[in-house]
Amino acid sequence: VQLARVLGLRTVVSTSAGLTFATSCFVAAAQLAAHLLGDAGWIAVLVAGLLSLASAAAFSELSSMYPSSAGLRLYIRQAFGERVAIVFSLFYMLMVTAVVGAEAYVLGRVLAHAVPAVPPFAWIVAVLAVATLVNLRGLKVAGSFQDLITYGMIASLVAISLVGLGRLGWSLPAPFALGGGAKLFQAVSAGIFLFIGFEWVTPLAEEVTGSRLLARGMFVAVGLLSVVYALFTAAMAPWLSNGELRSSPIPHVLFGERLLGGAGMAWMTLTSLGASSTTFNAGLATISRFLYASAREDLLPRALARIDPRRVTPSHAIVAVSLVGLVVSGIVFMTGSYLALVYAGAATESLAWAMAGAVLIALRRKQPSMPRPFKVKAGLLVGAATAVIFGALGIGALTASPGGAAVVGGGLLLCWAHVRWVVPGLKLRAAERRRLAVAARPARRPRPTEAS
Amino acid sequence: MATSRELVESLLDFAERCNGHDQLRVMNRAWERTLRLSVTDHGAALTLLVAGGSVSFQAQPPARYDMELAAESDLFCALFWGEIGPTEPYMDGRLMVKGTQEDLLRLDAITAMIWGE
Repeated sequence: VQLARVLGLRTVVSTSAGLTFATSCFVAAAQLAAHLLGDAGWIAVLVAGLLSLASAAAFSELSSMYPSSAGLRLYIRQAFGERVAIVFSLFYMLMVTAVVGAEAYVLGRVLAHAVPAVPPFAWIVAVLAVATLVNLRGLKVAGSFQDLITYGMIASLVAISLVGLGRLGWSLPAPFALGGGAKLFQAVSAGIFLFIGFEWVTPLAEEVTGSRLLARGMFVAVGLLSVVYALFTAAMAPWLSNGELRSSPIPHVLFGERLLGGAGMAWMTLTSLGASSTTFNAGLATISRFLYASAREDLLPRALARIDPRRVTPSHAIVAVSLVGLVVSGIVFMTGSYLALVYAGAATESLAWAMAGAVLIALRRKQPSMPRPFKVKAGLLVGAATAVIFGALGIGALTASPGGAAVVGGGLLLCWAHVRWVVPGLKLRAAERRRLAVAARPARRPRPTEAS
Repeated sequence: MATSRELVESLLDFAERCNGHDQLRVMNRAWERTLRLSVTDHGAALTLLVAGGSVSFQAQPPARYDMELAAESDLFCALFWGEIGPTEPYMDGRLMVKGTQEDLLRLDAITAMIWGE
């Protein structure tokens, strides 16, 4: 007896790696390089990747226990209760929506650089409109197309990195000059952004044959990303000034332009489009479905639970996410504070991984006999290390950007206040609505026990 | 724990309501799926078939299926009788699902439509 359709390792790897690709990642890579004294950005990337493996281990065990697309929300609920789970998952989705807004801004700047006749904000609106339309129509990136995008992106980044390094004579001026432990710590904090979302592949636990396959896929994806981004960061940094690394929203395009002129610019613009397409597709789809499910649970206004009966897509939730993304992009466009969102994203992801580590420990204690098809060796130690290290890196990312700290603090407060004061009212109204709906239904078949 | 008869009655009731809902029949006319319902406290499995917009039920497990729902019998009865929606037990881990996200969303939409929520 088996599921008719199951996914293989290649698609699990390409989905996990593909979910992390974003144009904003090139900004994060440049930020990371700017924190360090010399050309040692690649070391920070590898350290961030190595640490990410610990969180991959935690997610592997948790998703093997609960192979559900409810993901972190469900794991936290089992470990720390409903309220913590709701507040944290709402906060996480809010921050991801903000990152989608930042992504639209950065991609808009890339496209405006390539086609200056069209103003950046028009590009931002166009990009979000296309992403919304694709999601509203329920168009899904098929496994084979996802493979093509992800492996194409990897090949593209490796190729331009090799060209860049080759033009430098295969040597970096100062490849090991970190500038001290504190600088490395800050660089790694920013580097976490490069791995945001690799664990979003865990909903595929409902579509694969075994949890071990999912775990293997995440480990391979993180390893692959570490190598690719380390290579890219090492190749890009020497071609840009420290000012460009610190403050350009299009460092990768400048890198391509310096290397190969117009062809390099076009190459990096196309790479951006590929990277952003996965972000918009996964971001909009994941967040809108989360909003829909939350509305069905009466945690958010009922209007967000509207389904388009023809396409079977959560239409109101998709439009809501796009509008919030557009507002965020607009604010970023007016203030130029996209870096605050990059650091907020890195901090939020670190905190989510720290939470996964804490959940791993709590569930080892609370549910010791629950079947774990994938069990992390020295799980308590791995869980503790994940919680402490990523908690510290999250704080590190926030201290590097006061704007990012304000976004994260404000988001957390907003979600807590929503759950504290708004959700009880929504639940009350829903209970009344349900009572009326039940009263209006035709009588069901009686339970046999009632009939006898 | 619900009895096997209660479970069957709830499924028949659910199928009847689905088949009597015109909008639902139109929505599902191109959605052909075999669902395996694994009743964990009975150690048994049932089949729910959706084809040509109609829902039918078989008392034995399917050989191949597109989606698997696993829960205790009481929960299945409550779900198919519309006493609770599927989202809450899904989010709290009482209802486990194997299948695609799209199918999961459609199943949730079906329950929302037939129970008028």
